[in-house]
Amino acid sequence: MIYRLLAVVLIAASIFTLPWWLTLLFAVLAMLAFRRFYEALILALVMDAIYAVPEAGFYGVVFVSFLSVLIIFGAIEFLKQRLLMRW
Amino acid sequence: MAAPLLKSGAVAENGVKNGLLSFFSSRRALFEENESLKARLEEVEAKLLERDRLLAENLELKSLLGRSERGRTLLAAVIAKPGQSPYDMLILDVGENHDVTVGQKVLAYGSVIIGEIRQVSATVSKVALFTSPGEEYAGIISGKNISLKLVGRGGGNFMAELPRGVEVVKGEQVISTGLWPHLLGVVESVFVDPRDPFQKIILKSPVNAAVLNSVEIIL
Repeated sequence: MIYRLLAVVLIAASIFTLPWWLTLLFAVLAMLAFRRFYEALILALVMDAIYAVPEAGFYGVVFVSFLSVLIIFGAIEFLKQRLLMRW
Repeated sequence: MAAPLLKSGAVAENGVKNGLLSFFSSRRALFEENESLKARLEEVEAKLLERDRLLAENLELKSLLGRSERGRTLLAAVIAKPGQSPYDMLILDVGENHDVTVGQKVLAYGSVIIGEIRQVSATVSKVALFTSPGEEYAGIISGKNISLKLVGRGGGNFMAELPRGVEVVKGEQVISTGLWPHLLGVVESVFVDPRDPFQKIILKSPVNAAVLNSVEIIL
């Protein structure tokens, strides 16, 4: 539980200080390491709330981080079940 | 018997010669580079003086024609830059508290237009960069009055298309439209395909948004 909390703090801090791809990397590692790491979705929403701006490249969508993490979260959980890994 | 010694002596001699030669040649190259840079600096300084004179003349002419009003600008500190998020944007430390509104244009270094305000809250505002993928902005090739539509490609680049017959060369500047134009980008390369009636022009913004510490908002 303490490691899970530490992961949340680390990712939250990285949102403000590190490039986004490092934050995403930490989130993916946490999703792999912990069982159903829903916190990543909340942190992605926080990231969108801070940085999102409607851009033509994203068709004006302002939940890019959240949607990306949602897809990765679903894929990782699916893979965990398929590979019969026990987290 | 003495062959190895002689060989080693020759090797040492060659080594010293080469070392000395390269030492002097590198000094000569540095000297020449220094002279060339000094000459270039003098040329740029002369051009800068001419630019100041032309600007003063331009302002005087506009004043004579009754169009001396120039938009006020507001200095803003950049508190988040591209790279910190997947969005190609800047977050500024001014918002509604400084009369910032959506749609206002943002300048870097006082003369390069880089984006526009897209979101404003009480104390901060977010800028979408014109070089973001898919963003579109109208510009004119400076000195030729040829209009073109710049489409952002990310990473500080734009792309534009013009009919193949229009001559565009590397280094030409593209400015914004209006009575007080600002620099948008510089032509970096031109791609002409004989099968395509249009030529593709790649432009680069002279500003790297990732290193900006402050910008100006045109109020």
